[in-house]
Amino acid sequence: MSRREYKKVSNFITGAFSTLFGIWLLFQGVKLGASAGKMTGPGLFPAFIGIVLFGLGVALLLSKETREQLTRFRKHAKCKLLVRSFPPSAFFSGLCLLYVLVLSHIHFIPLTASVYFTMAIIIAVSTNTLSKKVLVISGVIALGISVGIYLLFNMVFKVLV
Amino acid sequence: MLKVFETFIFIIVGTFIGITVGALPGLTATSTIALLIPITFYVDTIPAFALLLAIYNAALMAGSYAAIIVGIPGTPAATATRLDGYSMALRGKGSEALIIATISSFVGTCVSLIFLFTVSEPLARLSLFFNSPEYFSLALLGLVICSGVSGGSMVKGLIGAFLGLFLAAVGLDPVGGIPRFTFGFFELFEGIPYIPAMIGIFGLGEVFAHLSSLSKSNNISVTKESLGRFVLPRWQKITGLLPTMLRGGLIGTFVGMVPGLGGNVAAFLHYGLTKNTSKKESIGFGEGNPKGVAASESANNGVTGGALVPLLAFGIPGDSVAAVLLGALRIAGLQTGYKLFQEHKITLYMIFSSLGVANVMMLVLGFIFIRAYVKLLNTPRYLLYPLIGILCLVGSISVRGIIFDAIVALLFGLLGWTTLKLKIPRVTLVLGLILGPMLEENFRRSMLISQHSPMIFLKHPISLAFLIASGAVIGFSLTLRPRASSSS
Repeated sequence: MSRREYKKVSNFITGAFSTLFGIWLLFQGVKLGASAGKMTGPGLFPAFIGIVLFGLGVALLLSKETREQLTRFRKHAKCKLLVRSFPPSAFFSGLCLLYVLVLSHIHFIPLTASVYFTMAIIIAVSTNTLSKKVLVISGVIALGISVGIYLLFNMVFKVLV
Repeated sequence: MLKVFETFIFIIVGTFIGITVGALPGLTATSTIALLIPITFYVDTIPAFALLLAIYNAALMAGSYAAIIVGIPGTPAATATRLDGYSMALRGKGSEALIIATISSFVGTCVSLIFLFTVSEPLARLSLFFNSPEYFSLALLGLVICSGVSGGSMVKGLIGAFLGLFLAAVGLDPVGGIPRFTFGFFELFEGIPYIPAMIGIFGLGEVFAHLSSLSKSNNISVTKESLGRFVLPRWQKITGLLPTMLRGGLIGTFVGMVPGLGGNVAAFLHYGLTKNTSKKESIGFGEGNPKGVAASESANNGVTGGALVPLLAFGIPGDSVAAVLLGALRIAGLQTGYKLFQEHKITLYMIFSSLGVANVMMLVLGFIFIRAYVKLLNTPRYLLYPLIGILCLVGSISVRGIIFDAIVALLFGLLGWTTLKLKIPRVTLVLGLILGPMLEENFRRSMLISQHSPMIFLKHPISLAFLIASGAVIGFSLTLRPRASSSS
């Protein structure tokens, strides 16, 4: 999905997410112990947030602007199903999330080196400058900076364990 | 004496950092301050806040550098400056525009500083009349105003605010101690770590956003022609612009006090006002009129002091930087409200004074290094963004020393980037996260006092007034905005 088309359905995505998340939050709130009679339970506040998010989501979905966005989207994207066009963004976000979760199991140096390296590669790909040389240099800089920062913050500032 | 010297050094360092981040498009004062908040753990309160405020003030001014020289605003607040500043640069008067921008920013901050010194304490005294229902209604009003005025759709603003409130509910329940939405992570029992979340939303979020649109913004080059000769403008020219600068400072201060508005709105508001009230001149607005530069720059720097007034008086931040500063205040163990003025009066006024000194330093360093800073715009993005990414991770880990916080920062970076894509104002999300505990605690306390009767919020006159104001803001936003957009 191109950037322009994505913008056209941002209201729909926000509205759908808010509605579904609101329902989930309401159930979680009730499970935690929210009731109208006892207005001090731990689940009352999350349940209240859930109801409001649900209401706002529905309001956004039913708004004139969202309906116009969807009509334009259907007309220009030549794709009746929103789902068919959505996967590239969803896939990318999922990949990022997975990457972040994998990072949680590693030490500071591999973590920062990996983040630096990934960013450098993204920049190289976006600017069409990806080559073996760039890969090697980025890798060396990533490792060097990470080790340098670790030593500096561990030994001088003493903020990293 | 040593402390004064230490504070002065921090102000100079902060001003240098502020001008640097402001000059580079894509880097903002908010992300830099979020990144440097951990410093408040290791340094005394006054030098730490002097550093953060110096960055805030200088970054707002230096945002004009890129806007004037290459036509790309360094910070969102400098967008209005581009209209006339860039036109001046195209006519070879870039240096003159930069000097006018620097002086206007200085005057704008001076005006807001006078306001901060004189108004914040009397305003904070009002908080003595506040109890739980009033605090609840005030926090709600802050969220509603922010959602209504932060740009884009009001509904999206409110969705952002309530998502923030949900994030604030993560952790142990403040009354019963029951874990909520921790998903088995004991690291979340104290709630979502505030600083990694801020660093993620503002720092990494911006880095991700720039990585995803890199091809558009990586070709910046500064030419000698656009800068022109470095000559100080004539004194009469500066004095002629002084009324505009003073009015800009006043407008910026008032706009800064409204949660969610910020420098961008102040700059455009005053620019529009100046344009509409000025007599016809040889160089029109938008074609390189120095008055346009003075109008927008004085107003956007006027926000600095204004945003701090509601923050210190009631704990309601005026803009995203003030929201991050609230986190720093909490780390330093300073509670907002009148108690802050009673118990830490000297500290507080020393911090205000440090903003004044930082303002003078901004003027001096801005003049001395103006050309060197403009050359910073040539810094390659492939070096800059990964390095900022790494610094964000280090900043987030440095608070508690656990990798988990880096993961939180990365996840909030993704959240910040997604909200940018979906046009959900980030400032409402952050305000929800900050005001969440205040809202919940005061709501539940009110319920306990009133024996579960929500009528308590209507029985207290101040609380009732805040609730009516919230309703009015929602009503105005929903009815007036569609009309305004259709007529425009």
